[in-house]
Amino acid sequence: MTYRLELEDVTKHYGNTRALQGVSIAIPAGKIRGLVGENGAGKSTLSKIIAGDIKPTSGTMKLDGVEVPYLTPASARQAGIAIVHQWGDLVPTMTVEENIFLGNEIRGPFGALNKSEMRNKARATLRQLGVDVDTRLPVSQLSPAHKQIVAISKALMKQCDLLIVDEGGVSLDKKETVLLHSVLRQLREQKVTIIYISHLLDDVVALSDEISVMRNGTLVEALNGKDTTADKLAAAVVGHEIRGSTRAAAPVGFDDRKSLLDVRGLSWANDGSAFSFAVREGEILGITGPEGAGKSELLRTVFGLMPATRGTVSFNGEVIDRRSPRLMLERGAAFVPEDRFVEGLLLNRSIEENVSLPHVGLQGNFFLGRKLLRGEATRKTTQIRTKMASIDAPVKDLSGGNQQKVVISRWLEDSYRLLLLDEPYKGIDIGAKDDINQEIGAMAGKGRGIVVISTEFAELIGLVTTLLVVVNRRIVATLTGDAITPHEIVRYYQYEVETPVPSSEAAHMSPAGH
Amino acid sequence: MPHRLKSILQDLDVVVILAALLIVAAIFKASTFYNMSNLFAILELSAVLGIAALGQALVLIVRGVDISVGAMMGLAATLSAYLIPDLGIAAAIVLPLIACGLFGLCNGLLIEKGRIPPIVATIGMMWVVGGLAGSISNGRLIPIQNEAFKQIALGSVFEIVPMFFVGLLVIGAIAYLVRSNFAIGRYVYAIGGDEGAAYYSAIPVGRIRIAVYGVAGVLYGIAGLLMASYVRSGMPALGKGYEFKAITAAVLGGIALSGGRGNIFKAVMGAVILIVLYGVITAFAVSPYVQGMIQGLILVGAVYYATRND
Repeated sequence: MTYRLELEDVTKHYGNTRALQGVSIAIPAGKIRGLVGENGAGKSTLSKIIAGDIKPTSGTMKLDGVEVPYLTPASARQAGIAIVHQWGDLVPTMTVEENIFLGNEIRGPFGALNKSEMRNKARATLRQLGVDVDTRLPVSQLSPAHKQIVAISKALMKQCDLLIVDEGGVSLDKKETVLLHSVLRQLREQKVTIIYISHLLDDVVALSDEISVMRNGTLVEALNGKDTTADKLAAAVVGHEIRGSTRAAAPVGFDDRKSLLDVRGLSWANDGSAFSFAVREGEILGITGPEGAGKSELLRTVFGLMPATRGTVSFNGEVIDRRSPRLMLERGAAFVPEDRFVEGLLLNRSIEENVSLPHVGLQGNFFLGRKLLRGEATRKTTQIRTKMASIDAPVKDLSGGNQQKVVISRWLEDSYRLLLLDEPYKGIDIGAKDDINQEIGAMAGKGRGIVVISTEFAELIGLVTTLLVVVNRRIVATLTGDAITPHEIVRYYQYEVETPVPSSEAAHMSPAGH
Repeated sequence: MPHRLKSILQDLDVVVILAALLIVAAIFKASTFYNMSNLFAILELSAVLGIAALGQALVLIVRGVDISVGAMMGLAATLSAYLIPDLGIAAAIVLPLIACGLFGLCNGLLIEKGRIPPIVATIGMMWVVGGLAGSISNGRLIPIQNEAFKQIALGSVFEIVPMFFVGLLVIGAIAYLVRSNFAIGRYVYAIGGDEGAAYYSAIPVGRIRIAVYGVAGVLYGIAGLLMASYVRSGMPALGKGYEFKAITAAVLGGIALSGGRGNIFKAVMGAVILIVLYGVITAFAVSPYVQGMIQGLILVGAVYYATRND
């Protein structure tokens, strides 16, 4: 049997980091191959190598049984390979038909565009895929599923027969996912080979003929799509070496504590989503879920960085309506943003200035107490074990982990009763993760409430007292205590769940939205 | 076709503003506004600004901005007036346009290859080009004696439509044709709409952006030459303030400052509106300082209106 694509012993190193290690994969023609794995498992590195976007460090590649040199984007296209990024291939201001032929226009005499032929072909392709879209609409007006399908149509116009779909199902609802699946199955009928990459395990199980599981840059398992369940797949994705599970279990039993934050029916969109949850004193609430599920938006809405479309946020028993970061800070809630480079740090300024930043405006004096601020900054950064040459060194000289510590050390004072952290583990090493988690634990020990968002849920296990799993702008599970296990979490990474929420849950922590 | 109708209605807003201005003039200042020489001048100046605004609109569509418009117009006019006695009219038209095109390409190279923000690169170019024009003319006005060159501004079709305006219509028609019937027109909009998507679609983003600044340079050059013919002389300061007038005209015509959106033909309409407005204001004998204030309010108001409707 010849395969459409074979990779043998492919390795990719970035400096000392091994993104891929000895990956061998063979993909038969005309099948749908699912590719799953956690963040950083190597899925996107692998897909970029296949699409010619990056060159592997070593290994061989065969197309239809013939060994080929490493691909470039142009030679990959020549070979009929196309990749659909999460609708990043479309220009939102341009129409469907303009997008489908962008960079690949059909021209008539004098190089003039043959608009009627392009329109007809665009319509025919979309009709063949079984979708009804007005090709004259700007792409910005389409639903997520239709955008995805337009992006696929665009790839098909380039005579592609090996299609990589990267995170196709993310942010689609169930009906839209069904539509996307039917389109991809349709393509399989037309002998197109498809590599389908997704976080959403049910999505992959429902669609794929075969599924490859990646972990830490290697292929660890190959499963047959027909007799695999999402549960089995979850076990394969997570593996058994979970760092978090070795930690002491987090304390439970906060039901009688005073409520700090009470979020009811909150949403930032008009899609029927509504989030409800509460954080009590001393409680660490974790929020996890696939990328694009709406975790970050939820926290930003709570903190007043995004306007809410509905719902209420109470803090210390008081409903706060017109939230703004300044108002929330004055009330004693602090926020650590996901992108510390853009939103968190002044990279060229010193550690001292960065730590003191929020306190300068709030201390109420006209003159800065330089000496006081400096002392405070030194104490705080030392407490959280920041490795630095001097408090006056610019923040850009620090490693990612130490930069994150600088951001967090701004909020070490107990007067900040609530601390919201958005992806604090992003791009930092294990040592720094442990230091940060230790500090989070210490803060909670003093009765402060903490909310931590992370897609790296292994970090949250053993740390948080309650864990919300958010998928497609819905809380699909609320886990507490011993129920917070990797297998349990990944089980909920699905686009639609008939929710088995444990009955021991506090009544107000119900999964919300429909 | 409801969205077709909707887009036609949206296209009408500039026409409505224009009509309103003309009615105001008709009611209050008919005799000073509605006479042949005034209307002729309004059409001629509309053409000058319209062509400059077309260049500015192209740059805005690729998410840039060009502050060197006025300086380029000054250079073209000065160079032309300087060259015309020795080299004749053909060279005095072609060489300044080549010079402006090359300086425009320099803008594009600085921005694309040098990664310098458009506003900084083109401010730098404004001073360089302005300095060059100043060195050529020694800072003085160079009168143009060439009859044929002066005739450009005096020429008309049936004594009603100035040659300038015919030129604007020709250039506008070419721009419209390229926009709607050639791939390059789509690429320019794609780069402004989403540069990443354009890149993934194998569009030569860098080369096109550089070319856009080059073409814009040539358009500013044409505007400068028309202006030189209109005032029968060349001097560096001849295009002073046109960079901001061109931005105002483009925004008034609905070109988005965020790139990728807006009909270039409407940018030309925006220029016509602006010049008609100046004409109306002048008919009311308002001081030029107040005129400046009104211009500022229009720019800010147009951007405010445009961002509200996004």
